[in-house]
Amino acid sequence: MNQAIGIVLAGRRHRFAGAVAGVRRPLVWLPAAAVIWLLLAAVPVLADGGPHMSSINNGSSGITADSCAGCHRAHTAQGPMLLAAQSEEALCLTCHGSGGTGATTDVENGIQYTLASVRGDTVLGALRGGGFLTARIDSDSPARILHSPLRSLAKVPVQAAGEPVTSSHLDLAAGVSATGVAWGNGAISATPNAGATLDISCGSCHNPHGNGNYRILNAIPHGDDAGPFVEPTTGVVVTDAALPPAGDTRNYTVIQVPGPGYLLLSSQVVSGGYTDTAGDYFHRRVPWNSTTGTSDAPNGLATFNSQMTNWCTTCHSRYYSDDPTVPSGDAIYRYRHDTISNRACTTCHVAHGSNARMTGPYSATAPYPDGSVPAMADSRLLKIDNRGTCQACHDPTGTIPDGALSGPTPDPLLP
Amino acid sequence: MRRLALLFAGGAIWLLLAAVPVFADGGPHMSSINNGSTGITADSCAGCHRAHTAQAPAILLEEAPALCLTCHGSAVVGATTDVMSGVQYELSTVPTEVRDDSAILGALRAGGFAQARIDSGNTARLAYASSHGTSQHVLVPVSASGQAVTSTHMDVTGLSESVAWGSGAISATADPGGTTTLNCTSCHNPHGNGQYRILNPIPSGDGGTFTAAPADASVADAPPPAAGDTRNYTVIQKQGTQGDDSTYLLYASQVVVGGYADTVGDYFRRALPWDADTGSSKDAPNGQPATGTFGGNAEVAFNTEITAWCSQCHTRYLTDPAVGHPQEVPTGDAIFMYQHGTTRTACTTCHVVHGSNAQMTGVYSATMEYPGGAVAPVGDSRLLKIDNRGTCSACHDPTGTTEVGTYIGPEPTPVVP
Repeated sequence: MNQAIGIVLAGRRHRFAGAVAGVRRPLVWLPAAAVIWLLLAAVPVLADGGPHMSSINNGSSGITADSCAGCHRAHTAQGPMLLAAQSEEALCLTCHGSGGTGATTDVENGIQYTLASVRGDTVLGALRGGGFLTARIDSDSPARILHSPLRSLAKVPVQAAGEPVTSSHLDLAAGVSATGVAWGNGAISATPNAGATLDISCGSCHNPHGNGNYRILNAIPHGDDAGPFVEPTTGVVVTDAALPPAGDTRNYTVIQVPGPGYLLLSSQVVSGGYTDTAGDYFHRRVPWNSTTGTSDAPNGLATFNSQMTNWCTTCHSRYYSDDPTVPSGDAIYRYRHDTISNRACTTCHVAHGSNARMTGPYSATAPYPDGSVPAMADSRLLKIDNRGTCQACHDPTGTIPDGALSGPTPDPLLP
Repeated sequence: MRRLALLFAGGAIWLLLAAVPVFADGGPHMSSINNGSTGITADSCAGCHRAHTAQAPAILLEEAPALCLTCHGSAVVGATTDVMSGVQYELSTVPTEVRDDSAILGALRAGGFAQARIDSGNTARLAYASSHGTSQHVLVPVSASGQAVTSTHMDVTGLSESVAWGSGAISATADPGGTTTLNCTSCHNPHGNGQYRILNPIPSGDGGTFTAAPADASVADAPPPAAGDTRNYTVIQKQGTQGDDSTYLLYASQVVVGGYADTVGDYFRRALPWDADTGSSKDAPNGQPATGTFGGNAEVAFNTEITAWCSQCHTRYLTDPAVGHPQEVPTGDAIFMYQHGTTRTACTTCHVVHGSNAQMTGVYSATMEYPGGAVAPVGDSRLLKIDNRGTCSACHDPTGTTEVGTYIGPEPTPVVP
C-alpha cells in the first residue's frame, strides 16, 4: 500500500537511524503517558525541507500530515498518481519554477532566493544543479592555477545574469531536449550498447515526500523505460546534513567554504555577506585556489564525492571508473576518465542544465555514445565552454609553468 | 359456519406468526408492518403522519429532519440512536421510553450531525510486511466526549441546495455534479425497506439539477433483532464467521453482554482485527465481509455494496474494478480525471456519512477547494475521519522509511473487541 501515492518505490525501503520518540520499534514499550509521543514526535531527524519532510510524510511524527494535500487529490486529481497537476513537472514548478513563490529554489533559472515569506525578491546565489531553462555558469571565464601532476586548481565563476541552457536533464527548455537515453546504463557489453531509452521526470531522481537523502535523491533513481533500462538492485545513500532549524532553509547554491563552516544554511550565506555571484561551479576543491583545500562537501561530509558518483552511476553504470588506463571490455565505454576522489561526476557536470557554449567544430558536433549527432551543440551538462573542462585540470603540452594563473582579470574571488 | 370459524382461527394465528419481521428494519421503521404484510392494522403511521392536520408536506406531523430528530435527536428518548451527537444509547427498561439516556452504548459509525466522537488526531498505525513490501494496519479510536463537527452531509438546522459531487456521467468539460437539497429521507426510507440502515436503493434529493440513478443499489441487512433488542449501530465490531450471524456484534445486547466500554471501537475498520497480519476480515456491520456463498446464502461484501450505494449519487467517484491502478488511468473527466481506487477501499473506510469532527488545521487541508475549484469553508473535513490528510498517511508511507513493526499512535493501544 506504500506504493500508491507519488513515487513508486517498488517495495524498496530506506532504513533510517535513530529513534523518533513515539515510534515504537518491535517489542519496545513506551510509558503509559499517552501524550508524550505527540510532543516528542515533533522532532524531525531526517534531512529534508519544506513539505518534503519524510518525518511528516511517513507518519512518524503522527498520522495527521497536511502536506499530502499540497500535491495530491484523492478524487479530483489531474495527473497520474493522484497529482493535483497534469504532470510531475507542472506540479513541481508551481513552487520551484520561475513564477513560483512556494520555494526559495528556482530550478528553471538555476538560482536560489533568500528566505522571506518562502521566496523573497533577493537572489541568494546560483544553484549547484544549474537550471532547466537558464543557468548562471560563467562558462567562458574559468580560472586555473596549474599545478602538476593532476593537482591543478580551477574555478568556474558565477555570472550576474542567466543564459539559455544548451543541455538539460529534462525537456523543459525550447530547443533543448534531453536525449532520453540513460547513457552507459547496463553491464559491460562486448557488443555496442550505448544505454537504455528512458523517460525521466523530477520524481525519477527526487522523492518529493522526503527520504533523508541529500537533495531527497531516490536511493534507486528510475524512469519510465521503453527498455531495457537496468535498474540497480541496491540503493545508494547520499548522506544529508542536519535539518535546518525553524525559520531557515538549506543553502543550495555554489557558495561554499571549507569546514567547519561549510555554509550549509541559507542564513549563513546571508550573514556572511556573500554576493549572489559568489561561488565556484567547479568545486573540485574548497577553497578553489588552495592545494590543501578540501573536497566538495555541500552536505558537510567528506564522503560526498564518492557517494554522489555512486548515485549518478546507478543509472550511468558504465561511466564509473577508478582507472582510465585499464580497458573495461565494453565496446563503447572502453576507456573512461576516472570518477573517483575529486573527479566526481559533479565536478565536471551539473545535474539540471548548463549554459556552456559548444561553439568549436569538434565540441559542437561530438556524437553521442551511440554515434548519433545531436541536433544542436549539446553541452552535455558540462560547466565550461567547449572542452575547457579538460583544460581546467590538464595541460598536456607541459608548457605552462607550475603555479601559473590562467583566467579572467581580476582573479576570481573566494569563495 | 364451521368453515368460517376455522378460517377465523387461522387468521388469528397468521397474524401472530406474521408479526415476526422478515425484513431488516427497526423500531417503527418496519417494512413488514408498514407494507401491510403482517396485517392491515399498522399503528406506526400515526407516529409521523396526520391525515387532516398535518403540518408539513407528505402529511407529516412536522417537516423532516425536525420530525426525525424528535426520536433521533439529542435530548429525546424515542430511539437509541442520537444522530446529532453521534452516539447510540442502551435500550431503556422504562416501558414508555426506548433510550436509556444514562448509558451510552458506543459511538455511531456515521459520526454525528452536530458532534462526533472520532479521535481524529490519535490514529494508530502499525507497519507490517506484505506482498507490497511494507503495509500499514490502521485504527482510528473513539473519543470519550463529542467534538463539534467540521463537515456534515447536510445541515440539519437549515436545509439548502448543495452539490452532489461527482454525480453524472464522465464529462470532458468541467462538471462538478448536480445540485439538490438533501433531507434524511433522501437516503433513508423511514417506512423501512429491508435494506441496511433502511437506505433507499435509489437515493435522491429534492429539486435541483441532480438526476437520480436509474437502477437500484441494494445493501443487505442482517436479520432483525429479537424482540427487546435493537441493532448495534456503533463502531464496536469484531471479526466473525461469515454465515453465522451470532459471531458478530450485530445487536446492542451483544455489545452490552460483552462488557465493552463506550469508547471501544475502530472508526477506520479497514480490517478486523485491525492489526492482524493475516486472516483478517473486511468491515461487516451486516455480517457480510466477503462476497460468496455462506451458510447456503449468496452474499455480497458489505464494502462492495455500500460503495456502490454511495456512488448512486457520487457517480464519478466509483472506479472500475477492471482497472487495477485507477490512479494511473485517466477517466477522461475534466475534474475527476484520476481517482483513488474504490474497489479495495470502500467509501466508508475513509469517510463517515453523517458528520465528522476531524480537524483540518494544516495550510493545505484547511483551504482545500471543492471539486471544480469552488471555495470551500475553511477547515471543511470532507467527512474524513483523520485530521488533515492523515487519511493518506494511515495507509501510505511514500518515503519508504518505515520499518516493519513500527507502531505510531497513542499508548496504550486503543481497545477494540
